[in-house]
Amino acid sequence: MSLRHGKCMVALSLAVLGASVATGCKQEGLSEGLSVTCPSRVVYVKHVSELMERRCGTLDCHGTDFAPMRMLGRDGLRHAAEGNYTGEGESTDAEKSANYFSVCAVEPERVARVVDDPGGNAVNTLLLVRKARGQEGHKGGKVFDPWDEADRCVVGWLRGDAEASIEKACQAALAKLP
Amino acid sequence: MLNLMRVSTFQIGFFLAASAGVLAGCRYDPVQAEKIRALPLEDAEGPRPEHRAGQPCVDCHSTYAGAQPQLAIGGTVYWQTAKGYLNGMEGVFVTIQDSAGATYKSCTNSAGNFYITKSDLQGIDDLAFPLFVGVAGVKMNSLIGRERSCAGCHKLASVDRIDRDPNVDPATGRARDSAGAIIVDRDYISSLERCGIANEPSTSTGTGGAGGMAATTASGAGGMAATTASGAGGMAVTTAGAGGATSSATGTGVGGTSAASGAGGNL
Repeated sequence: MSLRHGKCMVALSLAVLGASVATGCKQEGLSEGLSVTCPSRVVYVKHVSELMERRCGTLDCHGTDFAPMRMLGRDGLRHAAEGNYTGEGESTDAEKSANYFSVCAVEPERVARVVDDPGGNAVNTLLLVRKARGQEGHKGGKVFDPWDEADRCVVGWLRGDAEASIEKACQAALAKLP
Repeated sequence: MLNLMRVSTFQIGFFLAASAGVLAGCRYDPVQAEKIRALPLEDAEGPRPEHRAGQPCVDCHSTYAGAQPQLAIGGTVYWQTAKGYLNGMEGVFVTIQDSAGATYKSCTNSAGNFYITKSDLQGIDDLAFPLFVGVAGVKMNSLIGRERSCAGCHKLASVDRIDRDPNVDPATGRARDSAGAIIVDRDYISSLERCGIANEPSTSTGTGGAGGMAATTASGAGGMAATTASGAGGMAVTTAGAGGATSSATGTGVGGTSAASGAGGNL
């Protein structure tokens, strides 16, 4: 192989590598505003987030930077931009909103299906629900019994139940926690 | 025929060797191995109940790493001096209630370390998570989902942590991802939460143990469960149930102290 041919191959390789990196980094759409089809953000922030923070978002479970469905909150991981300490103050709106997007982003298409057909069986197929009920492999084991207060809190929100009934279920579930 | 047997023997040997390799490989957990590798070196006195205070006990005292005794849970409790330094808090109860209703009490030793060994679990395989924990009578705000090393979440400050997050409190280790060290206010600990301290001015209370103290809890539907425990490092187990259940553990504590009720903490 001539020296000239070798240089040409190196240049070509670098060009291909550069193009691949540029394409890989572009990730069109991710830097733009995301729209998700998910149940009410207001209801989640008002009633559901606290239960999930306390039951799912402990520092040894979903309250860590390294866990999927990362949860933020007062007694767990705090929002990186707010400078709060674990165990101090209250959960902030930014933390609750981040939790909302975490939960909605686990299975966005399936959650959208639940929103489209709230009375159907789709809610029972969600990983979020199945893992919490212990019907799917879950490192934290079974967290809710099907149709107990905590389950009704989360499932009620997913199905778009009346806010009063969601609030009641969430409060009853929270009352059982220390 | 002979050749065939040789081949078969070779194949069997190869299969066994490969299986052993695969099994050994399956046991290797790079995440856990790295956590253990990153721990500070052991001190000169070597492994003992007071060693490695503030470090994640169950990283090593586990089935994976094999350090004995194997622990179901373990941690370190501190008190903070006026200048902000942390010292091991000796002689307070750490109470752990599991989701199956069993309650375990462990007494902190001179380094502030406490633990419940797997053999302390008395016939059950494991603690039922989540756990609800109190230290010196102060309840922890959150529950424990699955972590067995208290220091897994209650992290001390370290150069590494402060490098990654400048907001880490250099005294207690609290930050956005940790409540910091478990700290109790030693001036405000109920006598019922004291255990086995020999060097404190004491008023002996209770009836359990030799010159020790008693802690009594009531639970169960229509029944009562009584537990007596004493002695540094002692451990008691109570299982609540209908009609109540009683168990006891005794040690050789010298006595407890009377103190005002209520205690601050950092749990």
